[in-house]
Amino acid sequence: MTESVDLTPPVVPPPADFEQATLPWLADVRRYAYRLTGSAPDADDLTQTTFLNAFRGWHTFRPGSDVRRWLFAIARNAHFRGRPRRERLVATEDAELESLAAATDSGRASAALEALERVDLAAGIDAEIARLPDAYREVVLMVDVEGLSYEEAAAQAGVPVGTIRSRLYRARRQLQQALIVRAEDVGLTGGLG
Amino acid sequence: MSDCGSGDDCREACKRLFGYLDGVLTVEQAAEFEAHLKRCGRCADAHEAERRLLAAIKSSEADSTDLALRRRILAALRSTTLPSAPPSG
Repeated sequence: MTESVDLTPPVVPPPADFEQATLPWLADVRRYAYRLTGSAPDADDLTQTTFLNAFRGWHTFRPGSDVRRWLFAIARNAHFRGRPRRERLVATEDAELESLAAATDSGRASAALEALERVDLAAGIDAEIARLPDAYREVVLMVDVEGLSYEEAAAQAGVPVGTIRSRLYRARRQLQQALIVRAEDVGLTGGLG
Repeated sequence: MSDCGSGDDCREACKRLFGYLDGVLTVEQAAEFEAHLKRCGRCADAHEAERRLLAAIKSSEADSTDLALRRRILAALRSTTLPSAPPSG
């Protein structure tokens, strides 16, 4: 008995396990893409690119690891790839970190967050993250959203750990100030004085 | 416009605030930080403000999936073929 050999070029459908594993995270990836791009159409395009890149790289996914985090990293890499890196070496002295950590008006910041929670804090956060300079946005997304350690973020960004820390602190401070201004701009001034 | 106090303990606590929230302090440093918060209302307020800010940033769950986008992505996936392995032999 001769076995027949199928010589038809393979048309590989998306593996069912790929769709099953990744599509539940579509909305989260779309939100992450919006934080990266700051524009709805660009976020849609980046989301599609992310899923296509993920599909092509599905064989590299390590079973058991975090699919959502993997997709976020793919989106981030796709967004920043090809963009000129505007690196700026930031000296990270203890005194500077101290001032960054301390330069908060906790009363106004808390009141702003509370006020925005009554409207739509998520939209405010997303928009303000999208407005951060590339280097700050990248580190906030890596550390605060993807959960990378400072060391992992430094390796991915190709900068020293101290630079990651400094950018992260600056970015958080900038976000805090932006949220205070946003709360005031939309008239949620109660308690912000 | 620091909300931290002006003493040495407060300055040290402020310096460690983000490190504490990011879980990168040593056990001893974290314990010292927590002990300071119990003694200092201003630093405790600053800690609470930063904790809330980070919680808002970290929150990345989205409420709903855009069905049109889902259809668009499924169509793109299904028209994509993976590169096949080169024929052996």
